Amino acid sequence: MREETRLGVAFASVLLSSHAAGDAPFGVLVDADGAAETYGVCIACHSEKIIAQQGLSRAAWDELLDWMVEEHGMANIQGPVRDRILDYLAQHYGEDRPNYSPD
Amino acid sequence: MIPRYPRSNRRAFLQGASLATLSALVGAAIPFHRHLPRGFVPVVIADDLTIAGKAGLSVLNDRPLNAETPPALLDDAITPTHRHFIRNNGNPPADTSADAWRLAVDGLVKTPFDLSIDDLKQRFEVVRLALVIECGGNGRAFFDPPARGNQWTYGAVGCSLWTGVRLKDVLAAAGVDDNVVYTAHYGADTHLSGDPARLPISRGVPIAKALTDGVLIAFEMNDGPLHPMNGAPLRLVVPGWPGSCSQKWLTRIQLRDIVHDGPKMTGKSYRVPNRPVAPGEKVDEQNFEIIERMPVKSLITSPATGVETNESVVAVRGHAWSGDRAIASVDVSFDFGARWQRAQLDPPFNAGAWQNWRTTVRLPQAGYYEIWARATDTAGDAQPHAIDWNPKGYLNNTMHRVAVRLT
Ligand code: HEC
Repeated sequence: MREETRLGVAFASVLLSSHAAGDAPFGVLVDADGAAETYGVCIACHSEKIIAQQGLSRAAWDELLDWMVEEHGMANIQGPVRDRILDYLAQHYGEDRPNYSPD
Repeated sequence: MIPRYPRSNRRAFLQGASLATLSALVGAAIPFHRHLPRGFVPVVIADDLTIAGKAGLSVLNDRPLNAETPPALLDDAITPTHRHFIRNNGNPPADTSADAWRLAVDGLVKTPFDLSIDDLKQRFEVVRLALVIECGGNGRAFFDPPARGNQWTYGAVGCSLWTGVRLKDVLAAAGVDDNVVYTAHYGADTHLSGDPARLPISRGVPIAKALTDGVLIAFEMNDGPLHPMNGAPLRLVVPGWPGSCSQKWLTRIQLRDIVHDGPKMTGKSYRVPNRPVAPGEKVDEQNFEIIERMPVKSLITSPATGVETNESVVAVRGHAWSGDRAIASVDVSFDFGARWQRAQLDPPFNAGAWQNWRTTVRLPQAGYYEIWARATDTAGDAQPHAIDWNPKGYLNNTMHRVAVRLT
């Protein structure tokens, strides 16, 4: 990569990240499709750090959302929003743990 | 502190932190907190997330606060207050002053009562014991497939000096009815949803456990006040059982004629399958049973893992413990378990404390070594190599391994 291009990319990413609310728009959550819904629904009671630690299958995330509703009083989200949240969680916080390291 | 998340993210989570959490982080009440704009991060913590009165802990979650201690920082024979892990389920109470605190003892007792902390000190014998508290999920991070919950690695354990009165003395004064089977514990922390009708956690123990000598209602930690995040001003300490039995910010103990069914007693919480299962196996809820004592375990607190040295003689030390039992021996290996050498082992400070051990290993030549420690308790149980996998990630007592490179 030529020097100016590299600087240009660096500059653009600074602009992008400072443009968003705070430094990271979704806290420690990976910024990808479905992050906005997940962040919006899930950080009312606790921070997203408890979510980012997990490595669960889609079915296990589904079960966990039920537990949030039944035990902890989360709104019962169904339909396309639930699907987007589950797809996001299963992809970025799945059993292969692409975004987790113990320290 | 070991950073787990990029620095840029700290601000984001601090903006969502409650006043109690912010106060804990700053180390003082924030008198003019009402003047703080929403989402404003006090300048003393804006640059680095530290928990006041706690040094070097790794923060797993900031809201609610959950933090563990890297093994090398657990080197002290008795865990100093600033090194004791934090496991919060809800929002800690805003007011933790001791003067107005009340403890109710009720349910199936002859004489229910309600006492101040001073009343407790005056009416009952005050004792000071070194007691192990370990989170039931300590070691969960290594489960494969992963188990949900905070991903504790090694350091959700501590053995501090706790001063208080014996639960059994308090229960004797209240008069335990013949049909009592279980205790139920309640604290002043509030549910994360803000719904006052929900409790963050309310667990209990079989009455036989509650009536043992080592169970304390504690109001001092290491001869000083309890840390606010460790349950100030009053908590239970049930040594050798999952930490969740040791209710923090304790306000009420109720005696019941059924196994207590409060939040985190039922379902899969603090429960394991009643038979060995394959990793990832689905287990019906009715085949889970409540965890009681924690299994035999040890930690190597020196050397720290990853250390590089040119000294072939390495001092190795740590702690070992086993719920409701003592440790019989600790063995150490530096050749992946082919040969073992016996460590020198101290008796416990008292029943319920961990036992300190030490040895010296002589590494034969330059290279990469792993030092392993394996404790065996008085019932003959030793630490396993592999995790006895269970769906919620409890009771991981596999051997601790630390890496050492001899140059
Ligand atoms: C109404 C409040 C509320 C909302 C909204 C909420 N949670 Fe939770 N969540 C809780 C409580 C309470 C706990 C238990 C905390 C504890 O005991 O440490 C919890 C725990 C968790 C845990 C840890 C699981 C365990 O077994 O300990 C995960 C993961 C989690 N939540 C994910 C989510 C996700 C994903 C969402 C959004 C879809 C969400 N939460 C929304 C209240 C909530």
